[in-house]
Amino acid sequence: MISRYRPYILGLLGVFAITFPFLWLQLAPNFTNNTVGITWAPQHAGEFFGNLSTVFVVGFLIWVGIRLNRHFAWDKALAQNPAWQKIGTFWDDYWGWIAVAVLFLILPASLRPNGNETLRSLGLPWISTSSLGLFTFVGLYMILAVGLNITVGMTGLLVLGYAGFYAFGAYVFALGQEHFYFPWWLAGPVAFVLGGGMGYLLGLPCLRLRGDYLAIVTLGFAEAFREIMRNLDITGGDKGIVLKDSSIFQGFWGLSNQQVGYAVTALTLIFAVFLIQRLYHSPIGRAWIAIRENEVAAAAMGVPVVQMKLLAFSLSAAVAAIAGVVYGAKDGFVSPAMCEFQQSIMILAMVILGGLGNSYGALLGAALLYMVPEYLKALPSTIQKSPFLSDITPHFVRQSFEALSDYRWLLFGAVMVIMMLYRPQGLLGTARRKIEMLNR
Amino acid sequence: MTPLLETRSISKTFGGLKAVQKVDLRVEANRVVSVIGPNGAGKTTFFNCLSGIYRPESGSILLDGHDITGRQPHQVCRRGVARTFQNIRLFPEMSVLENILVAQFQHRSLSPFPLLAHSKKFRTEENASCEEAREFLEFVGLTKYADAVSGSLAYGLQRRLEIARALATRPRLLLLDEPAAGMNPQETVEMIQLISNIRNRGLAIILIEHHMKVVMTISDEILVLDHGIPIAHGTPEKVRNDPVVIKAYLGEEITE
Repeated sequence: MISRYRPYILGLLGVFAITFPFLWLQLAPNFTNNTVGITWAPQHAGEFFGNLSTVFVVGFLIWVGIRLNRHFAWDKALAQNPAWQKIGTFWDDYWGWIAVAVLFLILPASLRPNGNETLRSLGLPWISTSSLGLFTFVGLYMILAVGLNITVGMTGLLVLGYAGFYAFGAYVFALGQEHFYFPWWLAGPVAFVLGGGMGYLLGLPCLRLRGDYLAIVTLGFAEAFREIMRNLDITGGDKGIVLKDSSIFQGFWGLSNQQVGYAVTALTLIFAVFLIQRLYHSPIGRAWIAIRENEVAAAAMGVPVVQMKLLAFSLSAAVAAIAGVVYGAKDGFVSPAMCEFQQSIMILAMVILGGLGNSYGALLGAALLYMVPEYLKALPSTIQKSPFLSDITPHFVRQSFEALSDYRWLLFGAVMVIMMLYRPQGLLGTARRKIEMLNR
Repeated sequence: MTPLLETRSISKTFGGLKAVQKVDLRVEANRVVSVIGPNGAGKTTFFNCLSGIYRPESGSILLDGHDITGRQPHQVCRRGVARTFQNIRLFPEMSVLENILVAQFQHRSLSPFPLLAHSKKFRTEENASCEEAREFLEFVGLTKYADAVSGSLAYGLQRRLEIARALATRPRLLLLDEPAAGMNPQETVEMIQLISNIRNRGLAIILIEHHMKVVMTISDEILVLDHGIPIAHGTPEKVRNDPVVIKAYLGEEITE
């Protein structure tokens, strides 16, 4: 029992040890005689407890996360993996569907125009109807992350220019609308097919070879695509294209542009997750994993390696393209900035953080990497605005939150490094990878 | 009658190294042919040529009279040639059962609708696959490890799993690359039993092995390679007493 809680106990003791001299004792350096005066100052102890409770809450959340992860991924995998005898039943993927449902159906349904009082007092004031835009972006990144996960996580092929296909889809839509009067619902399937075709063409020369050629080719594609879009007249150069009908979703069943954009994003995400999970739990998905695990053996066992890699990569590209269309239709604006290198890396980081090879991990990674920086950004002003929170949050903690908000990207980098060191399989890594780590 | 497999003087070189030179071999169904030779004799290269991993520079490989020279590995596999690897190549993060399921790829229908809808047809097929995979596991004695992660299996069991996986492609010709390497005497006896059970299923087997007990017990024919050149070919009795083979293995007696 003790050993299970040892990290938390040690963590608390550590926090205590570090904060003790500053909070319980007043250290007063005296420079005239080079001594440090120490005074017992228990009036600062409140801050310590404030600190402690934060540690408790965070520790508890981590513990719950670990338990849930074990319960869902690990025990399940050990008990019934991978016979997949029950596949085809809806409940087989139940907890993933529940996560999607919670995020996309229940949460927005509970939104009030001015935010929810309870949520606001908990420091989540941005959860209101006006935050639909934020959730739409989370949804878009989720689509991109599950799409990229097919290639990087399942098939084990590195892609460094994934945002190129995202921008490609958006431009297909924008140009199609400008010149051929494409409605957005037609642009989706068209971009899906064209994006897949583009992925196929790019994959054709380099997927025949072993090694990470795809990473370089896609990186080049994204960069070249951006430069071409910046320099062509018909694409509006750096300024991008403002779609003629800038509120494309408006007037659809009397809903606002934002609401329809959100719904379309949600439906696209559900479509993408559905498609990918069904393929994953099929001979095709197993072939992808086999290629990741040992390409030579997969080929010798009758798996057409090149075709399967092309399929995985084309599907990835097609999913990104459809996300691009949704983005274009939602924002009414596409620009070359969509396929900047940082975008591609961000999507890759989402996949890696969530867990390579696990679609639900990719969803989680996308949500965390998009929401947490936003949350940190909003945190100081949130605390300031909430009387309850500013009362209970000690000054010390508020200051550190402000620092967090300023240095959120630094924090982000640190988290990624720590993840790679201590949990390289990602938050919801596949159960198999976890077992392998145990044996090590 | 055309033999199941026939190689017509196939050769493969790496730079200046002649790894395989003009090897001729005919293998009939239900036979075990062993390929032996000192280290570096080109045995594994010969296998890689047969299974499509390498393309031989000259000569041809016929399967049932059809030329399969230079085909891709998965195409060769589709025509009924399966193999195991000297350095075990499992899919280590997949379970034992999944390893077998991968090998059934070519026998599965991939039509998109049933696959995406998980229709009844697809589920039936999937369950049948699992059943068949379990039969193969039972055949090699791995039933109780079906859900274990294959990378965590003991060495000898991994070898057995590789054989089961190769069988799951439903081959007519099985290439075994040192199946008994690193095994203790007990495991070796079990491996001999397993190989003869496979032969009894009507498969032809080509076996690379250093373990002479295995080779002499179950081979119908033995081909001896030295520096890529076939130096002897015949029944175990004949090969055992062949002075050329003894010389290749033990070296020449020093004569004054």
